[in-house]
Amino acid sequence: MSYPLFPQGYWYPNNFADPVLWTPLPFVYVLIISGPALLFTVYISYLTGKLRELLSLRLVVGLAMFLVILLGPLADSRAPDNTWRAFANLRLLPSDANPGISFMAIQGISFWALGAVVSILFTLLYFSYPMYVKYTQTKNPLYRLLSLGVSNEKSYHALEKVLKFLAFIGIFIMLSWLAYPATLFMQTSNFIWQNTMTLPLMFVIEKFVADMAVVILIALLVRSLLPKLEVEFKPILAIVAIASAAAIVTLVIQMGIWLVRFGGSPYYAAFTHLYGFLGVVLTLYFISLITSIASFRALSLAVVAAVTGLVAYFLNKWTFMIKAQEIAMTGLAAMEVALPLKVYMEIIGVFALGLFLTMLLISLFPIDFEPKREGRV
Amino acid sequence: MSIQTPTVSRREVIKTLAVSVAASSLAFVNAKETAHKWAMYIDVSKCYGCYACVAACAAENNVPIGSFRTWVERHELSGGVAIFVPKQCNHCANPSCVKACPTGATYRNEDGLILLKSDLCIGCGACIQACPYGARFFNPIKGTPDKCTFCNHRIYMGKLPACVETCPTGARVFGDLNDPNSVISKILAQTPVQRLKAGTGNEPLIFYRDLPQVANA
Repeated sequence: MSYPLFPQGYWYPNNFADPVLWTPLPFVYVLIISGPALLFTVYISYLTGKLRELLSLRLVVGLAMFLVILLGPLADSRAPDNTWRAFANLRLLPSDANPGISFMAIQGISFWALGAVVSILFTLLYFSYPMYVKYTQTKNPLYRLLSLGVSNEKSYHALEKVLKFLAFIGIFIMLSWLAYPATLFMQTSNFIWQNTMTLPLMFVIEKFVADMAVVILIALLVRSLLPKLEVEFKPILAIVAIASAAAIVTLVIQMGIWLVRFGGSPYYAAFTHLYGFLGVVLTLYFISLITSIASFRALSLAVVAAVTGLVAYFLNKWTFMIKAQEIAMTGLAAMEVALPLKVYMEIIGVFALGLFLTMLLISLFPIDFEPKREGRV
Repeated sequence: MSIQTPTVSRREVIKTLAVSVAASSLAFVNAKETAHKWAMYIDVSKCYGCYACVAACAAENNVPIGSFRTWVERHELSGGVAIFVPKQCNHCANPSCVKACPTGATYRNEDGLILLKSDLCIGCGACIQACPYGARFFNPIKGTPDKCTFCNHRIYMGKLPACVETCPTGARVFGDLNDPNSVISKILAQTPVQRLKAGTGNEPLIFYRDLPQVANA
């Protein structure tokens, strides 16, 4: 029997003094993670020609959110004046002094830079001819500059191969980013993260709920501003329903695995620390599933499906990112940690910047532009 | 007057080159062999929980209050017997903290010490999250992670780490595993030892004697 080192149980003292190391960082990933998810679906849609609803809007929202994503880690850094070294001294290859590879360096930092370049290029080329059309209507020289000299359909059609190539690369980068927080967590010694093997799968599945929920809400907002915009909601609602169902199944399976592996041992108490939140998450996902199916007949329920899906997603990520850090590295203790107010302010700040950038890009690019199946205007 | 240039055959050039390469390789191998492999042995049965090592470490390394480069855990065995287990950075041979570092700020030196270049650290906390022993912490004074360095500012001057020097019972033994005549090498050759969390594959270089299972969580 272990002598309790602290009233809260068996903690390593450094872990006890500073248990929640990553505060807004993972949660900002959560809020903005629909950026990579949206871009992923954009690239898939562009290559396959399927699910092209709101393609331009998804591209613009996805790009804006993806560009601000690294402000989360910046806000969480304890040495923010030195964070430029994350790019200047990026460690990609192992050496004698630095064996092994860092997921943060490869998936997080280098793939973000690569993804940003690919996505900016894709967006500029995708909107090149539409920007020229906009220029002819408004005579604004900025739009002409953003048309990149593409002034006719033939030139735009010639860009299709380049766009497909960028989309092809983009799929792999964004897929990697979808699973990134989960793989990052696997490279830690956190008790929950180490013992939740469905984490990468859960992260990918849930991002489709959040991704499509964001699209539904923005589409409803934009439709109220641009009544002529035709929106087909059914395929998007179908994704919300399928992803919500998959999230429920994954969570239930994971809770079953915990029970089988740790049931009856003192370690099991660590998992029960999460169960209160997980119960609410499962309920919300269930409501999202039912309402997204019901929305096929009554579209007004789409808002409920989107909002409950998003709240479930946020709550589940809070559980696995913040609550998981409240459990001791030993797996034999847990405590409630009250995060300072500034953490929430940072989260809101980064998300607000993402929204501001979204609005800026929406006002700049013609989001009512939908390319034909061949990629032509 | 003619100038005579010394003639050197191709065979001689190759021979000289080969000898040079072999000599330098030998020197490199010798250098590798003579490099240190610092390690520590902790005899749990000798520790009675005086915390002198904790205090000495804090004083030597200016460790902030509330954080620990080394600490002593008190566990209770069946029958109410109290047992004390000193812990710190294990300077692992396969360190997960070094792998997780995105900039190479945390590194392994030529003698196997796990150290930190503060100027490269971005304060991301990946190393702290990666260490399975809870040995790292954020030092608010330095603004970077901190941990035991085996007192590298002392050992290269021929001194012992502060915790070892201050231990009144000799529970801690520090030395060079590459030196077969060192005390630690001799102890490890004769004593059955355990390492913390062997299952993580980190291969710690701190060896315990009589480590209780309850302290290995």
